Amino acid sequence: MTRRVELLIAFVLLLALLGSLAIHTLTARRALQLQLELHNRDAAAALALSLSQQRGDPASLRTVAAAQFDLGHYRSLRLRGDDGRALLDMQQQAPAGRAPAWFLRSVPLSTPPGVALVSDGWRSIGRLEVESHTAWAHDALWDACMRTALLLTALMLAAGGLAAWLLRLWRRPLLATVAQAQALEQGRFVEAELPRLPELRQLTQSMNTTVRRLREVFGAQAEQVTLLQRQAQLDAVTGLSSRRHFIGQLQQRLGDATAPGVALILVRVWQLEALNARLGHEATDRVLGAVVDVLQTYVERVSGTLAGRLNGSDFGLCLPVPGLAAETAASIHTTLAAAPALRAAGAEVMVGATDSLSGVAAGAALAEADAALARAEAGNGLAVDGRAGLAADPAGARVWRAQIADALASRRTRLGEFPVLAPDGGLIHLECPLRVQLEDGGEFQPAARWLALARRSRLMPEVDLAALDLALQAIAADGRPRAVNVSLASATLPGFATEVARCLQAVPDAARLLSLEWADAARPADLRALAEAAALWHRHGARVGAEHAGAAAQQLPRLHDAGVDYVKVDARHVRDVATDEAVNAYARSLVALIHGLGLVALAEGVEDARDLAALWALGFDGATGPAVRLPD
Amino acid sequence: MQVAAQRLGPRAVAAVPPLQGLLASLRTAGDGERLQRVNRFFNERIVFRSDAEVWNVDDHWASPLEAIARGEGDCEDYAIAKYASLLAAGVPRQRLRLVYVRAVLPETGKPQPHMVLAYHAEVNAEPLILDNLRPEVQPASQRPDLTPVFSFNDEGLWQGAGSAPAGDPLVRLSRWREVWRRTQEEGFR
Repeated sequence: MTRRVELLIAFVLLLALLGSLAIHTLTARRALQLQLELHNRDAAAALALSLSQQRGDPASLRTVAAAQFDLGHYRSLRLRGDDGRALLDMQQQAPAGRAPAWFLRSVPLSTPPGVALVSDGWRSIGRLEVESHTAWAHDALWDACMRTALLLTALMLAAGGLAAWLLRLWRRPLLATVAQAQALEQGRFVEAELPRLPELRQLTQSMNTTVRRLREVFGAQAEQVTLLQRQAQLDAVTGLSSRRHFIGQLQQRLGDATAPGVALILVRVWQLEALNARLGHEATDRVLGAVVDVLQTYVERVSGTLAGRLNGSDFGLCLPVPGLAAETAASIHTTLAAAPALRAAGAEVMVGATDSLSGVAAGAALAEADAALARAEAGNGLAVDGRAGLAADPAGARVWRAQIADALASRRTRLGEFPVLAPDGGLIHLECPLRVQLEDGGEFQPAARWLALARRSRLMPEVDLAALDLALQAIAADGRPRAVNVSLASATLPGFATEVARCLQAVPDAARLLSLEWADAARPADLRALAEAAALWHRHGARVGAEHAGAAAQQLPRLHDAGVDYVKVDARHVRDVATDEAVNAYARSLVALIHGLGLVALAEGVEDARDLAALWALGFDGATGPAVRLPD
Repeated sequence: MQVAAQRLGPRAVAAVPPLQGLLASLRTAGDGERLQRVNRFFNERIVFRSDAEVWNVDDHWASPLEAIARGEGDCEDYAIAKYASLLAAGVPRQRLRLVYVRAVLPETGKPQPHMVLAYHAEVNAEPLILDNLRPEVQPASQRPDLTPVFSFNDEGLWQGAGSAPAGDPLVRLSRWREVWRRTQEEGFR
C-alpha cells in the first residue's frame, strides 16, 4: 500500500515540476518576445528618423545604416524603395548561443521586424525593416529555464523527502492497526500502542476500544455458558453433580486410558421416603445435608474427586486413584453413622464400593458398585468389591514397556478409522487411533490397553510419530483426510514439533490432508508450546484441533489462541442433546462460542441418530461416533 | 462608433451621424473629393488650441471622436482624425502619411514643430497637404512655410483591433500606438 502511495507522490511531484517548468518557460518567452519586438520597432523608428535627414544621398544612407547595424545587435536591416527595389540589405549570421539546438527548435522566439518609413522631404524613399538577433534572448531564456529547473528539482526533492518521512511516520501505526484488525478477524484480541500522530491516535483508540468491548462480550458469553453448564450439571438441592453429569464424568474417567483407574463408592440413605414421611421435609434435608458435607470433604481434599447425587437417596463418589475404595468407604460409613443429624433422625446409610475400575462402561461400573451396595444392605451396611488393575503391578509394567517398544520398532501397528462427517454426509476426516499388536501374531490392541503404560514409560513421542507415519502413508494411498492424536507429553517435548514438521515436509500433498489433534489442555505453559507447534505445522498445510473439549467454556478462547482450527466437543456434552433441555442449551452455547471464535465445531461420541439430528440443528459442523457412518 | 461616442458626451454623439454619412458617401468618390470634404469636416468642427490649454498636458494625442467631443485640438489631433477618416473612406494606406514638419508661423515668423497629413497620389509624386493652419488642401510646393522632417503611417502596426491584445503592454508604450488603438476601437477601420 505504501509503495503505491510513494509512487503516487513521486508522480504528482514530477508532474508539478514539469508543469511549473513549462509555464515558467512560456511566460518568460512571451516577455522576451515583447521586449524583442519593442526593440525592433524602436530601432526601426530611430534609424528611419536618421535616414530621413540624409536628403536621399545613397552614400549617406548607407553610412548611417552601417553605423547603426555594426554597433547594434541586428540580424538584418533592409531598406526597400516604394517600387520594391532593395536600397539597403544588411545581414549578419547569428552567433552561436549557449542554448542547445533542440531548445531553439522547441521554444522558438518569433518576433515581427520593426518597420518605419524613410523619406527625403516630401518625397518617400522607402520602407525600413529591422530585425534583432534572438540568440542572446534564447540564451537568457535557456539560462532561466536551467536555473528554474534546478531550483524546482531541489524543491521537489525536499518535498519528496518530507513526504517519505511523513509516510514512514504513518506507516508503523497503520500497519499495527491492520494487524490488529486481522487479529480481530481471527478472533484474537490485541491492543495496539497509541501512536503520536493525532489522526491515527484516534483510530487506534477506537480500535482498542472495539477490541476491549468485544473481549468483554466474549467474556460475558463464556460466563453465561459456565452458568448454563453448572445448571446442567449440578443437582438443584444438594449442589453436587447431577446424575447425568456424574455418569458422564465417570464414563470419561473410565475411558481415559492414561489414568490409572478409579474407585467408585455409592452411599444410600436407608429408606429415605419413610424417613421423610416420618420426620418431615426439614429433618430429611438435614440428613441429606450431612451426607453432602461428608462427600464434599473428599471433593475438596483430593483433587479430581467427583461427587454426585444419583437419585433421591443415592449418592456417588468417584475417587481418581485406585486402591482407596475400602478405606474411604469405611471412613464415610463411620463418619455418617456418628453424624448428629443422622443420629437425631435415626437415619442409617449403606455404603457400597468397588475399586480399580478402568476401561469399562459407566453403567457396568455402577452396576458393580450397586451390587456391592446390595451386599451392604444385606450385611452390615458396608461392602467393598475390589479388583486388581494391571497398572498395579510394577514387574508387569516393565514387560509391557518392552512389548510396546518392540511392537513399534517392528512396525506391528495399524490405524483404526472412524469417520467424522459433515451434515451433508461429506467426510471431514477419519479419526485414526493407533492400534498396537503387543504380541507377535496376536490381536491389535486399542490405546486403552497400553496407552497409560506407554505414557509412564515415556514412549509417547514414538507412539505419536508411528501414528503420524501411518496416517501420512494412508493419505498418500487413498487421498482421504485423516486425523491423528498427538499427546501433550509429546507436543510439549522440545524438538518433537520440528520432527513432525520434517515428516510433513517430506510429503507435502499428504500433509495438507492431515489433522493433528490433542486433548484439551489447561496449563498455560502447555498452551504456549502447543501454539508454537501449531504455527509450525500450519506452515506445512496441516490442521490442528483440540479433542475432548467443552468442559471449561472459559478456556475455549485460549484454545483458539493456541492456534487450533477445530474443536471436538466431548461426548458427555452432547449425549442426550435431543432429549435433555439443559444439555441442549449448553451445547447450543458451546457452538455459538466456538463459531464466535471463528473455529469449527465437531461433536464426539454421538450414539443416537436423534442426537445427531439435534446437533445438526444446533449448527455443529461435523460429528463422529457410533451413530455416524460413512455411506457405502 | 455610436457606442464609443456615448461615452464621450453629447457633442460626439451629435457628430457621429454626419461623420458616418460623410464616410459612406465618400466610399464611391474620388480621392480629391475625399480630401476636400474630410479636411473641411474636421477643420470646421475642431478649433485649434494647444494641448496645454485643452488637456492640461504638454502633448496629448486625441482620437478623432475625443477631439470632436472637445471641439478643440492641436495639429496632430487634426492630422490623426483626417488620416483615420480618409482610410475609413477608402483611401489606400500607402498614399497617406503623417508628417512631422517644421512650420514657420506667418504671424510670428518663428519656426515651430507641427504635424500635417500628406497625400501622395503616386510614388515620388508631389504630395497634397492637409493642414489646420490653412483651410484648403494645397500641394506641397505651395507650402514653403513647411519643412518636412519625418513621416510615418500605421504600417507595421497591427492591422485591426483583433490581433492587438488590449492588455498588451507594448501597445500602450508609444503615443502613436496608443491613439491608434483608441481610434480603431472607435470604429475607424
